[in-house]
Amino acid sequence: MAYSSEADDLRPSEAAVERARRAATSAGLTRQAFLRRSAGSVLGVTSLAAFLTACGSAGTAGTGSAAVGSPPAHPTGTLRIALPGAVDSLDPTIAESVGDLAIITSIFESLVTFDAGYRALAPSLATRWHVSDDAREWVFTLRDGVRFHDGATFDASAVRKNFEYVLRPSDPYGFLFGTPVIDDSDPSVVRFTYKTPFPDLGHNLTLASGISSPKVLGSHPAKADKQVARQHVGTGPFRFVSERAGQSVTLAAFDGHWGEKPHIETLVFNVIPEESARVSALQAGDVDLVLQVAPLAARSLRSDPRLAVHESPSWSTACLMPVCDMKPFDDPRVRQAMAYAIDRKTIVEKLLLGTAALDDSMFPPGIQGYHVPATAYAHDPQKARQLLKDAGYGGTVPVRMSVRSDAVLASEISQALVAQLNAVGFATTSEVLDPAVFEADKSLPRPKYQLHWNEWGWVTGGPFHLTLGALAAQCHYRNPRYDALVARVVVTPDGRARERLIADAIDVWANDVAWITLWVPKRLDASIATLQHYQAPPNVFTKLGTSYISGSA
Amino acid sequence: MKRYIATRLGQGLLVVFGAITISFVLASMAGNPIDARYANISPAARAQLLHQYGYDKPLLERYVSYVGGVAHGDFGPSIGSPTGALTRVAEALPYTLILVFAAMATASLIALASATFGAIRRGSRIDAWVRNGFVALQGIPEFFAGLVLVLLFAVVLGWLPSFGATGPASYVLPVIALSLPLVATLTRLLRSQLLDVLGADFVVALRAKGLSERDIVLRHGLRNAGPPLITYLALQLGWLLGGTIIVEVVFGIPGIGSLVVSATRARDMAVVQAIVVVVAVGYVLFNLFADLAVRAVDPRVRSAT
Repeated sequence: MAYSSEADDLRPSEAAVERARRAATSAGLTRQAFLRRSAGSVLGVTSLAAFLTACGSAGTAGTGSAAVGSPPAHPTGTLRIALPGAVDSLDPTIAESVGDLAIITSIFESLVTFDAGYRALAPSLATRWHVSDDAREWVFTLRDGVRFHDGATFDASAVRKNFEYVLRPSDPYGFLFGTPVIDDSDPSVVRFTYKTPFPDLGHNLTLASGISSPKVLGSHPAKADKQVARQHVGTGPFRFVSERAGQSVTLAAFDGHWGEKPHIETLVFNVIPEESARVSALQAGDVDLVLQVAPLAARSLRSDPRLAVHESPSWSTACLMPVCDMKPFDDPRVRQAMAYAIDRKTIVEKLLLGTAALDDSMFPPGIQGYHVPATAYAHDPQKARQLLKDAGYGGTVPVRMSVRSDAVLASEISQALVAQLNAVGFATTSEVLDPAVFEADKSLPRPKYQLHWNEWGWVTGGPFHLTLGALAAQCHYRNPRYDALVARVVVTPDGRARERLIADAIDVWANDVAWITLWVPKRLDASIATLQHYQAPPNVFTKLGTSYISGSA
Repeated sequence: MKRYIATRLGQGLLVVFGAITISFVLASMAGNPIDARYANISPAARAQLLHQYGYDKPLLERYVSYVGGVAHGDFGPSIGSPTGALTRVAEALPYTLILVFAAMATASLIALASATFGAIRRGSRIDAWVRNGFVALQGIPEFFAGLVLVLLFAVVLGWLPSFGATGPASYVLPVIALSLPLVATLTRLLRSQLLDVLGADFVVALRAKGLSERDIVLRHGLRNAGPPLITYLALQLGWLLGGTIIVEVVFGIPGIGSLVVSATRARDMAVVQAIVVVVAVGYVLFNLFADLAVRAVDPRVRSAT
């Protein structure tokens, strides 16, 4: 029986939704916030450096406030967005940073996207799709009448060329799409055929697969790196106009967009590397939107009636990750002690100022397969001490912890974690490391640091860190039962059977304390109060196609 | 004179060659940027990227190739950018030069005025206030000064832009932030030079001839105090060229300071190395110009060399 592309069939089961709703409500979230949960961070999966390991939250599902006024009849006005760093790459297949991806999301589109509530996949450049029973074949029906910004026609051939490009040997993220045979014999249909089941294609297509114009890719797409790096031509609501190196990127509304026409005439992305300078620029009226403000800055911005703070949950998790085959964390009791030692509620309240939600699952609500494990570890220092004694650690347990320097409140949170761990008998020292040094240490067979804390972005909306084994690999976690369950998840098509397998894997994970989820950060963006219909996605792909500035007509 | 310039340029080339070598060695010690940017990618992708950026070659071969490339103005490809490393630096350099020269000019003018005033009115209460005020200025970190200036003049008063390099107005605050620490040092240096000169025998003679203190300071004192000041300015220019990082990051100026931060984060070592070499060349040239200026101003130096 083939799966249809109707959204119902690809949504989590009702039971899973209900369980998540109860969990979210008990965590103090409203129904609206739960439905619009979104998180994104652009951190890498184990296999990917910065891309899949979340570093600070990115992208929010955007609760947004009720829109005021109506959109202008024609694209009007300029929206100035503050970027946290210079543009590294606008190649949709390799871009990693929040800023780069905000630009890319405006220029490029993929075959699928998420619906407005970020609960299910929705049509984009493909109007519908079928997945075979065994998830070896995906057939996408392409949208008619779509043109690229340079006038080229969007068809199956364009899709095939793009996948030839993204699957080139030097692309670091091509593995997200497996090794399909792509059939573009019908210009309106593209068929992906795999030798083994590949159920995650749909979700993975929301990532690193923005479709570039075939004119840019030329006749040898696999060698089109330089062209794609220079020319940014997609089908999105905005077209690339210019870049001033290190300074700004300008996009203009694309009148020929197949969907809802953009309401803003010009987007200007300005590079302001220093965070407090970005906030000052917003307060001074020099920019209109700042992505990812810190909790303390958000608190002060809320009191300014000219500004609005957009807060919503993200699809990322902050994790404390022990190296499970190195002392002392090779003993599960020590890992349990670690879990009991952490007072997550205090950190969220005092340091994050309430801008995160507690969660015991492996990944946040809203991610396909979300399941709250039966085993949970509430703050219990006494139990932690007892467990360490039982494990034979009568004195102190030396532990070296590392954290990425670009994590939100890296120093402050790591100090809190150190204090809480040391209060139960660990002798923890912590170092804040440059991101590349941090990632390099984690990938060593014997890392220098036995404990890491980091954020992970489940940016595809699916459990891809689970199926790719990223977190487990970085924690050196091996459990035959867990590994077998994950191996089955990888090849099981979406549906109740897969959800059961994921739930079982999460239960084993929680029991073993392979790593712990500390909290689910919220995404905080700040803008002028007149920016309407702003909805940041749960992943890092900030969409501006339907936003407008009231009073700008 | 020509021989003097040629000798100095030759020495400068040695300095630049040293900078090229040291930057290459340090960048190599940091590991290859492919592994730093893309940890745990597939072996095939890793091999392809290492080959693409030349990191699959032995160290000595890479060094020889690098030095050869630099001699032709090719610092290698910039990772993640379609342009070469030197092109990226060349695009960023003008912003830094504007900032540096404007800050130096501002600091020099203020220092000249205050040091001259201090020399003429030495020992007075106003002179003491000015000197103590500058000491306080010198203690203000650029980062703090920059943020306070933005808060006051951009956010509260709304007089000036808070970031960017979009026009003359956008340079006012960063130039102030960069010049504040310089003013104090320059003032102290120039004032002490002037006081030294004013204590010389020939000045006694000038006073005996009936020249006013103001004329003595302006016509004779400044000229004699000039050579050490010119040397100091040249050293400061070179230092500033590589030291604008904080101000550029705070104010979003797309100069080489911002570029070195973003390139380091992105492990774009070709760009980092290119910046190191460009700054070294700047040091050499500024010092050469300073020496020539001192020769022009001080006849004692001309006859000695």
